[in-house]
Amino acid sequence: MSQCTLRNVRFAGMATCVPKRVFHNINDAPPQIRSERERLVRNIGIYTRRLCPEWQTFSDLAFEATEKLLADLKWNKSDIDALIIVGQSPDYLIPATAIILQDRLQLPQTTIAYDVNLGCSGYPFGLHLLGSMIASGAIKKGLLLVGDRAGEEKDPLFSDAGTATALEFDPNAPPMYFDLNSDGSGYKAIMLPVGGHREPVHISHLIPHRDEGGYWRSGMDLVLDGPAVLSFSTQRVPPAVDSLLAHVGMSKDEIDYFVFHQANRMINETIRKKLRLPEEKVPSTLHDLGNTSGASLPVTMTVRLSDTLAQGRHRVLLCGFGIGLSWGTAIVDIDSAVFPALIEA
Amino acid sequence: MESSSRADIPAGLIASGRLVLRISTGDSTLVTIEQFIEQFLSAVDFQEPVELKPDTKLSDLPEWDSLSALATIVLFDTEYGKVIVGPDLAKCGTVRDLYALMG
Repeated sequence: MSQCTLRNVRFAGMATCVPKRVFHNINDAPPQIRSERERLVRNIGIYTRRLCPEWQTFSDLAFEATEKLLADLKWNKSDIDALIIVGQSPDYLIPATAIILQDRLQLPQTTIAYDVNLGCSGYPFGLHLLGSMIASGAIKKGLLLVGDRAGEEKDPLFSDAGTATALEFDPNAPPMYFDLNSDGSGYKAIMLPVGGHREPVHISHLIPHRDEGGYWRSGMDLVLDGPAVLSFSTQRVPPAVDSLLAHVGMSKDEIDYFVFHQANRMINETIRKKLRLPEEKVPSTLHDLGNTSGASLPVTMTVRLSDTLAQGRHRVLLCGFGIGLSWGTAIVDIDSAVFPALIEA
Repeated sequence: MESSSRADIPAGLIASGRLVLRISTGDSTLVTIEQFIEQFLSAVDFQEPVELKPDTKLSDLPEWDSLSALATIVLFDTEYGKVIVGPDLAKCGTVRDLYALMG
Protein backbone atom coordinates (compact mmCIF):
# COMPACT_ATOMS: atom_id res chain seq x y z
CA MET A 1 0.00 0.00 0.00
CA SER A 2 1.42 3.33 -0.90
CA GLN A 3 -1.58 5.61 -1.25
CA CYS A 4 -4.94 5.47 0.49
CA THR A 5 -7.97 7.50 1.53
CA LEU A 6 -9.64 7.68 4.95
CA ARG A 7 -13.23 8.83 5.29
CA ASN A 8 -15.39 9.90 8.24
CA VAL A 9 -12.41 11.25 10.22
CA ARG A 10 -12.57 14.84 11.41
CA PHE A 11 -9.47 16.80 12.41
CA ALA A 12 -10.86 18.37 15.61
CA GLY A 13 -7.84 20.21 17.02
CA MET A 14 -4.17 20.44 17.82
CA ALA A 15 -2.00 21.79 20.65
CA THR A 16 1.77 22.19 20.96
CA CYS A 17 3.99 22.58 24.02
CA VAL A 18 7.70 23.49 24.06
CA PRO A 19 10.08 23.93 27.00
CA LYS A 20 10.51 27.50 28.29
CA ARG A 21 14.29 27.22 28.11
CA VAL A 22 15.73 28.95 25.02
CA PHE A 23 19.19 27.90 23.79
CA HIS A 24 20.95 30.24 21.34
CA ASN A 25 23.01 28.33 18.76
CA ILE A 26 25.65 31.07 18.38
CA ASN A 27 25.73 33.06 21.62
CA ASP A 28 25.55 29.98 23.82
CA ALA A 29 28.21 28.04 21.85
CA PRO A 30 31.79 27.82 23.19
CA PRO A 31 33.86 30.83 21.96
CA GLN A 32 36.40 28.63 20.13
CA ILE A 33 33.77 27.30 17.71
CA ARG A 34 31.69 30.47 17.35
CA SER A 35 32.98 31.47 13.92
CA GLU A 36 32.30 28.06 12.37
CA ARG A 37 29.00 27.97 14.24
CA GLU A 38 27.96 31.27 12.59
CA ARG A 39 28.46 29.72 9.18
CA LEU A 40 26.65 26.54 10.20
CA VAL A 41 23.69 28.45 11.63
CA ARG A 42 23.37 30.58 8.45
CA ASN A 43 23.11 27.41 6.40
CA ILE A 44 20.90 25.26 8.62
CA GLY A 45 18.73 28.31 9.43
CA ILE A 46 18.40 27.39 13.12
CA TYR A 47 19.19 30.29 15.49
CA THR A 48 17.45 29.28 18.70
CA ARG A 49 16.13 26.01 20.07
CA ARG A 50 14.01 24.92 23.03
CA LEU A 51 15.67 22.41 25.34
CA CYS A 52 14.11 20.51 28.23
CA PRO A 53 15.82 20.96 31.58
CA GLU A 54 17.08 17.68 33.01
CA TRP A 55 13.88 16.83 34.86
CA GLN A 56 11.55 17.36 31.90
CA THR A 57 10.59 14.66 29.37
CA PHE A 58 8.64 14.49 26.13
CA SER A 59 5.64 13.11 28.02
CA ASP A 60 5.62 16.18 30.31
CA LEU A 61 5.28 18.42 27.25
CA ALA A 62 2.69 16.15 25.62
CA PHE A 63 0.73 16.06 28.90
CA GLU A 64 0.46 19.87 28.97
CA ALA A 65 -0.55 19.99 25.29
CA THR A 66 -3.22 17.31 25.80
CA GLU A 67 -4.75 18.91 28.90
CA LYS A 68 -5.06 22.27 27.11
CA LEU A 69 -6.45 20.70 23.95
CA LEU A 70 -9.10 18.66 25.79
CA ALA A 71 -10.13 21.71 27.84
CA ASP A 72 -10.49 23.89 24.73
CA LEU A 73 -12.35 21.14 22.85
CA LYS A 74 -14.62 20.63 25.88
CA TRP A 75 -14.26 16.89 25.37
CA ASN A 76 -15.04 14.55 28.26
CA LYS A 77 -12.04 12.41 29.15
CA SER A 78 -14.39 9.46 29.52
CA ASP A 79 -15.10 9.67 25.76
CA ILE A 80 -11.47 9.09 24.70
CA ASP A 81 -11.06 5.67 23.09
CA ALA A 82 -7.38 5.74 22.06
CA LEU A 83 -4.11 7.46 22.96
CA ILE A 84 -1.29 6.83 20.50
CA ILE A 85 2.23 8.22 20.99
CA VAL A 86 4.48 8.50 17.96
CA GLY A 87 8.04 9.25 19.01
CA GLN A 88 11.43 8.00 20.16
CA SER A 89 11.80 9.59 23.59
CA PRO A 90 10.03 7.23 25.98
CA ASP A 91 10.02 7.92 29.71
CA TYR A 92 11.49 4.43 30.18
CA LEU A 93 12.69 1.84 27.68
CA ILE A 94 9.69 -0.20 28.80
CA PRO A 95 6.74 0.02 29.44
CA ALA A 96 5.20 2.21 26.75
CA THR A 97 4.80 5.89 27.69
CA ALA A 98 1.24 6.09 26.30
CA ILE A 99 0.06 3.68 29.00
CA ILE A 100 1.65 5.80 31.73
CA LEU A 101 -0.07 8.87 30.27
CA GLN A 102 -3.45 7.09 30.22
CA ASP A 103 -3.31 7.14 34.00
CA ARG A 104 -1.66 10.55 34.38
CA LEU A 105 -4.27 12.15 32.09
CA GLN A 106 -7.00 10.28 33.96
CA LEU A 107 -8.34 8.68 30.82
CA PRO A 108 -10.55 5.59 31.23
CA GLN A 109 -8.94 2.16 31.50
CA THR A 110 -10.87 1.22 28.35
CA THR A 111 -8.43 3.46 26.39
CA ILE A 112 -6.28 1.79 23.72
CA ALA A 113 -2.78 3.11 24.51
CA TYR A 114 0.59 2.30 22.97
CA ASP A 115 3.71 3.84 21.42
CA VAL A 116 4.87 3.80 17.81
CA ASN A 117 8.61 4.08 17.14
CA LEU A 118 8.95 6.70 14.40
CA GLY A 119 10.87 9.98 14.41
CA CYS A 120 10.83 12.86 11.95
CA SER A 121 8.46 11.12 9.53
CA GLY A 122 5.99 10.16 12.24
CA TYR A 123 3.12 12.64 12.01
CA PRO A 124 1.44 11.45 8.78
CA PHE A 125 1.89 7.83 9.90
CA GLY A 126 0.26 8.59 13.27
CA LEU A 127 -2.62 10.39 11.58
CA HIS A 128 -3.09 7.37 9.34
CA LEU A 129 -2.99 4.89 12.23
CA LEU A 130 -5.43 6.67 14.53
CA GLY A 131 -7.50 7.78 11.54
CA SER A 132 -7.82 4.17 10.40
CA MET A 133 -9.20 3.10 13.79
CA ILE A 134 -11.78 5.87 13.59
CA ALA A 135 -12.60 5.37 9.91
CA SER A 136 -13.30 1.70 10.56
CA GLY A 137 -15.95 2.72 13.09
CA ALA A 138 -14.11 0.86 15.85
CA ILE A 139 -13.63 4.00 17.92
CA LYS A 140 -15.12 7.51 17.97
CA LYS A 141 -12.54 9.82 19.54
CA GLY A 142 -8.77 9.52 19.78
CA LEU A 143 -5.63 11.45 20.66
CA LEU A 144 -2.34 11.38 18.78
CA LEU A 145 0.70 12.61 20.74
CA VAL A 146 3.77 13.25 18.60
CA GLY A 147 7.20 14.61 19.43
CA ASP A 148 10.59 14.03 20.98
CA ARG A 149 13.12 15.23 23.47
CA ALA A 150 15.97 15.01 20.97
CA GLY A 151 17.71 18.33 21.66
CA GLU A 152 21.17 18.54 23.20
CA GLU A 153 23.30 21.62 23.73
CA LYS A 154 26.22 20.17 21.76
CA ASP A 155 24.31 19.41 18.56
CA PRO A 156 22.82 22.41 16.75
CA LEU A 157 19.82 20.77 15.02
CA PHE A 158 17.34 19.24 17.42
CA SER A 159 14.86 21.02 19.64
CA ASP A 160 12.24 19.59 22.02
CA ALA A 161 8.45 19.64 21.68
CA GLY A 162 5.35 17.65 22.59
CA THR A 163 2.10 17.88 20.64
CA ALA A 164 -1.45 16.57 20.77
CA THR A 165 -3.91 16.12 17.90
CA ALA A 166 -7.57 15.20 18.37
CA LEU A 167 -9.47 13.18 15.75
CA GLU A 168 -13.12 12.15 15.86
CA PHE A 169 -15.65 10.15 13.87
CA ASP A 170 -17.79 12.39 11.67
CA PRO A 171 -19.70 11.07 8.64
CA ASN A 172 -19.58 14.57 7.11
CA ALA A 173 -15.80 14.95 7.38
CA PRO A 174 -13.88 15.48 4.13
CA PRO A 175 -11.53 12.60 3.12
CA MET A 176 -7.88 12.45 4.22
CA TYR A 177 -5.35 11.23 1.67
CA PHE A 178 -2.06 9.48 2.41
CA ASP A 179 1.17 8.39 0.73
CA LEU A 180 3.35 6.38 3.15
CA ASN A 181 6.75 4.78 2.47
CA SER A 182 9.62 2.94 4.17
CA ASP A 183 13.17 2.08 3.06
CA GLY A 184 15.04 0.05 5.65
CA SER A 185 18.14 -0.20 3.46
CA GLY A 186 18.97 3.28 4.77
CA TYR A 187 18.63 2.45 8.46
CA LYS A 188 22.21 3.47 9.22
CA ALA A 189 21.70 7.06 8.00
CA ILE A 190 20.33 8.15 11.41
CA MET A 191 20.66 5.77 14.31
CA LEU A 192 21.40 5.24 17.95
CA PRO A 193 23.53 2.13 17.41
CA VAL A 194 24.16 1.21 21.04
CA GLY A 195 21.72 0.09 23.72
CA GLY A 196 19.51 -2.36 21.82
CA HIS A 197 19.96 -6.09 21.51
CA ARG A 198 22.30 -5.95 18.46
CA GLU A 199 24.81 -3.92 20.42
CA PRO A 200 24.06 -3.82 24.14
CA VAL A 201 25.71 -1.14 26.25
CA HIS A 202 29.27 -2.11 27.18
CA ILE A 203 31.48 -0.15 29.53
CA SER A 204 33.66 0.88 26.56
CA HIS A 205 30.71 2.76 25.02
CA LEU A 206 30.54 4.97 28.07
CA ILE A 207 34.08 6.35 27.89
CA PRO A 208 33.71 9.93 26.69
CA HIS A 209 36.14 12.10 24.76
CA ARG A 210 36.12 15.85 24.27
CA ASP A 211 35.45 17.19 20.78
CA GLU A 212 36.95 20.43 19.40
CA GLY A 213 34.12 22.43 20.96
CA GLY A 214 34.94 20.99 24.38
CA TYR A 215 31.76 18.90 24.43
CA TRP A 216 31.90 15.35 25.77
CA ARG A 217 30.96 12.66 23.25
CA SER A 218 30.75 8.89 23.60
CA GLY A 219 29.65 5.72 21.86
CA MET A 220 26.18 6.34 23.25
CA ASP A 221 25.55 9.33 20.95
CA LEU A 222 23.29 9.51 17.92
CA VAL A 223 25.04 8.84 14.60
CA LEU A 224 23.87 10.93 11.64
CA ASP A 225 25.19 10.64 8.07
CA GLY A 226 24.49 14.18 6.82
CA PRO A 227 25.05 13.66 3.08
CA ALA A 228 22.93 10.46 3.10
CA VAL A 229 20.05 12.23 4.89
CA LEU A 230 20.27 15.20 2.53
CA SER A 231 20.24 12.99 -0.57
CA PHE A 232 17.36 10.90 0.76
CA SER A 233 15.26 13.94 1.66
CA THR A 234 15.79 15.94 -1.50
CA GLN A 235 15.47 12.95 -3.85
CA ARG A 236 12.50 11.13 -2.30
CA VAL A 237 10.24 13.86 -0.91
CA PRO A 238 9.44 15.96 -4.03
CA PRO A 239 8.32 12.95 -6.14
CA ALA A 240 6.25 11.60 -3.23
CA VAL A 241 4.40 14.90 -2.93
CA ASP A 242 3.80 15.05 -6.69
CA SER A 243 2.71 11.42 -6.68
CA LEU A 244 0.05 11.94 -3.98
CA LEU A 245 -1.28 15.07 -5.72
CA ALA A 246 -1.50 13.16 -9.00
CA HIS A 247 -3.19 10.21 -7.29
CA VAL A 248 -5.96 12.39 -5.84
CA GLY A 249 -6.14 14.59 -8.94
CA MET A 250 -5.31 17.86 -7.19
CA SER A 251 -3.13 20.69 -8.45
CA LYS A 252 -0.77 22.57 -6.15
CA ASP A 253 -3.13 25.56 -6.39
CA GLU A 254 -5.77 23.57 -4.52
CA ILE A 255 -3.49 23.23 -1.48
CA ASP A 256 -3.49 26.24 0.86
CA TYR A 257 -0.32 25.31 2.77
CA PHE A 258 2.48 22.80 2.36
CA VAL A 259 3.92 21.95 5.78
CA PHE A 260 7.16 20.00 5.65
CA HIS A 261 9.16 18.42 8.43
CA GLN A 262 11.57 21.11 9.60
CA ALA A 263 14.88 19.34 8.93
CA ASN A 264 17.25 22.21 8.17
CA ARG A 265 17.18 25.19 5.80
CA MET A 266 19.33 23.52 3.13
CA ILE A 267 17.08 20.48 2.90
CA ASN A 268 13.82 22.40 3.18
CA GLU A 269 14.75 25.04 0.62
CA THR A 270 15.92 22.40 -1.84
CA ILE A 271 12.63 20.53 -1.49
CA ARG A 272 10.62 23.76 -1.86
CA LYS A 273 12.51 24.81 -4.98
CA LYS A 274 12.30 21.39 -6.59
CA LEU A 275 8.53 21.41 -6.07
CA ARG A 276 8.40 25.04 -7.29
CA LEU A 277 6.38 26.21 -4.31
CA PRO A 278 6.18 29.90 -3.33
CA GLU A 279 7.60 30.74 0.12
CA GLU A 280 4.27 32.07 1.41
CA LYS A 281 2.65 28.66 1.04
CA VAL A 282 5.46 26.86 2.88
CA PRO A 283 5.55 28.00 6.54
CA SER A 284 8.76 27.47 8.55
CA THR A 285 9.70 27.48 12.22
CA LEU A 286 13.36 26.49 11.83
CA HIS A 287 14.74 29.91 12.82
CA ASP A 288 13.26 29.95 16.34
CA LEU A 289 12.32 26.34 17.09
CA GLY A 290 14.83 24.20 15.19
CA ASN A 291 14.24 20.62 14.13
CA THR A 292 11.61 19.28 16.54
CA SER A 293 11.64 15.78 15.00
CA GLY A 294 8.14 14.34 14.51
CA ALA A 295 6.61 17.34 16.27
CA SER A 296 7.76 19.77 13.59
CA LEU A 297 4.53 19.59 11.57
CA PRO A 298 2.28 20.37 14.57
CA VAL A 299 4.81 22.96 15.85
CA THR A 300 4.74 24.76 12.50
CA MET A 301 0.95 24.55 12.19
CA THR A 302 0.50 25.91 15.73
CA VAL A 303 3.05 28.72 15.47
CA ARG A 304 2.47 29.85 11.88
CA LEU A 305 -1.07 28.79 10.94
CA SER A 306 -3.20 28.47 14.09
CA ASP A 307 -5.20 31.69 13.54
CA THR A 308 -5.91 30.71 9.94
CA LEU A 309 -6.73 27.07 10.59
CA ALA A 310 -9.07 27.88 13.49
CA GLN A 311 -11.43 29.71 11.11
CA GLY A 312 -13.07 28.38 7.96
CA ARG A 313 -11.88 25.47 5.87
CA HIS A 314 -8.31 25.05 4.64
CA ARG A 315 -6.47 22.29 2.86
CA VAL A 316 -2.98 21.43 4.09
CA LEU A 317 -0.43 19.01 2.76
CA LEU A 318 1.68 17.54 5.59
CA CYS A 319 4.95 15.78 4.81
CA GLY A 320 7.34 14.10 7.26
CA PHE A 321 10.61 12.37 6.39
CA GLY A 322 13.68 11.00 8.15
CA ILE A 323 14.96 8.23 10.40
CA GLY A 324 14.08 4.75 9.19
CA LEU A 325 14.31 5.72 6.46
CA SER A 326 10.66 6.64 6.33
CA TRP A 327 8.61 9.30 4.55
CA GLY A 328 4.92 10.08 4.51
CA THR A 329 2.56 12.69 3.10
CA ALA A 330 -1.04 13.50 4.05
CA ILE A 331 -3.59 15.89 2.58
CA VAL A 332 -6.04 17.03 5.23
CA ASP A 333 -8.93 19.50 5.08
CA ILE A 334 -9.14 21.35 8.38
CA ASP A 335 -12.44 23.06 9.14
CA SER A 336 -12.86 25.32 12.19
CA ALA A 337 -10.58 23.18 14.36
CA VAL A 338 -9.43 24.10 17.87
CA PHE A 339 -5.89 25.52 17.87
CA PRO A 340 -4.68 26.84 21.25
CA ALA A 341 -1.68 29.22 21.13
CA LEU A 342 1.80 27.73 21.67
CA ILE A 343 2.20 26.49 25.26
CA GLU A 344 5.51 26.96 27.11
CA ALA A 345 6.18 24.73 30.10
CA MET B 1 6.29 15.61 -13.27
CA GLU B 2 8.36 18.68 -12.42
CA SER B 3 7.82 20.33 -15.79
CA SER B 4 4.06 19.95 -15.58
CA SER B 5 3.97 21.64 -12.17
CA ARG B 6 5.28 24.98 -13.46
CA ALA B 7 1.77 25.86 -14.57
CA ASP B 8 0.73 25.79 -10.90
CA ILE B 9 2.71 28.91 -10.06
CA PRO B 10 0.49 32.00 -10.16
CA ALA B 11 1.71 34.30 -12.93
CA GLY B 12 1.47 37.29 -10.58
CA LEU B 13 4.12 35.82 -8.31
CA ILE B 14 6.56 35.40 -11.15
CA ALA B 15 5.83 38.86 -12.54
CA SER B 16 6.32 40.48 -9.14
CA GLY B 17 9.72 38.86 -8.82
CA ARG B 18 8.78 37.50 -5.40
CA LEU B 19 9.32 33.97 -6.55
CA VAL B 20 12.97 33.16 -7.10
CA LEU B 21 13.59 29.81 -8.65
CA ARG B 22 16.67 28.07 -9.84
CA ILE B 23 15.54 25.94 -12.72
CA SER B 24 18.13 23.42 -13.75
CA THR B 25 19.05 23.33 -17.41
CA GLY B 26 20.25 19.77 -17.02
CA ASP B 27 23.04 20.73 -19.43
CA SER B 28 26.17 21.15 -17.36
CA THR B 29 28.42 21.55 -20.41
CA LEU B 30 27.37 25.22 -20.43
CA VAL B 31 29.23 25.82 -17.16
CA THR B 32 32.95 26.65 -17.41
CA ILE B 33 35.30 25.70 -14.59
CA GLU B 34 35.66 29.40 -13.72
CA GLN B 35 31.87 29.72 -13.41
CA PHE B 36 31.78 26.51 -11.41
CA ILE B 37 34.37 27.88 -8.94
CA GLU B 38 32.28 31.01 -8.45
CA GLN B 39 29.10 29.01 -7.85
CA PHE B 40 30.92 26.53 -5.61
CA LEU B 41 32.31 29.33 -3.41
CA SER B 42 28.87 30.87 -3.11
CA ALA B 43 27.38 27.49 -2.16
CA VAL B 44 29.92 26.45 0.49
CA ASP B 45 29.75 29.91 2.11
CA PHE B 46 33.21 29.84 3.77
CA GLN B 47 33.75 32.22 6.70
CA GLU B 48 37.30 33.05 5.55
CA PRO B 49 37.76 33.97 1.85
CA VAL B 50 39.98 31.60 -0.16
CA GLU B 51 41.31 31.75 -3.72
CA LEU B 52 40.51 28.65 -5.70
CA LYS B 53 42.27 27.31 -8.79
CA PRO B 54 41.25 24.16 -10.65
CA ASP B 55 44.19 22.33 -9.07
CA THR B 56 43.56 23.51 -5.52
CA LYS B 57 43.46 20.50 -3.22
CA LEU B 58 40.21 20.23 -1.27
CA SER B 59 42.17 18.95 1.73
CA ASP B 60 44.05 22.29 1.78
CA LEU B 61 40.79 24.17 2.39
CA PRO B 62 40.30 24.64 6.14
CA GLU B 63 36.51 24.82 5.79
CA TRP B 64 36.02 21.89 3.39
CA ASP B 65 33.85 19.97 5.84
CA SER B 66 30.55 18.13 6.12
CA LEU B 67 28.59 21.35 5.66
CA SER B 68 30.51 22.03 2.42
CA ALA B 69 29.69 18.51 1.28
CA LEU B 70 25.97 19.12 1.83
CA ALA B 71 26.15 22.47 0.03
CA THR B 72 27.95 20.86 -2.93
CA ILE B 73 25.34 18.09 -3.22
CA VAL B 74 22.59 20.74 -3.25
CA LEU B 75 24.51 22.83 -5.83
CA PHE B 76 24.79 19.91 -8.23
CA ASP B 77 21.13 18.95 -7.75
CA THR B 78 19.54 22.40 -8.06
CA GLU B 79 21.94 24.13 -10.48
CA TYR B 80 23.18 21.33 -12.72
CA GLY B 81 20.38 18.75 -12.42
CA LYS B 82 22.97 16.16 -11.40
CA VAL B 83 22.54 13.80 -8.46
CA ILE B 84 25.78 13.16 -6.57
CA VAL B 85 26.22 11.42 -3.21
CA GLY B 86 28.69 11.57 -0.33
CA PRO B 87 31.01 8.82 -1.67
CA ASP B 88 31.32 10.73 -5.02
CA LEU B 89 32.71 13.69 -3.08
CA ALA B 90 35.05 11.53 -1.04
CA LYS B 91 36.79 10.46 -4.26
CA CYS B 92 37.54 14.05 -5.28
CA GLY B 93 41.04 15.39 -4.54
CA THR B 94 40.88 18.78 -6.29
CA VAL B 95 38.41 21.41 -7.41
CA ARG B 96 38.82 20.08 -10.97
CA ASP B 97 37.70 16.63 -9.76
CA LEU B 98 34.53 18.19 -8.38
CA TYR B 99 33.91 19.97 -11.68
CA ALA B 100 34.36 16.65 -13.48
CA LEU B 101 31.45 15.17 -11.48
CA MET B 102 29.14 17.08 -13.82
CA GLY B 103 30.29 14.51 -16.36
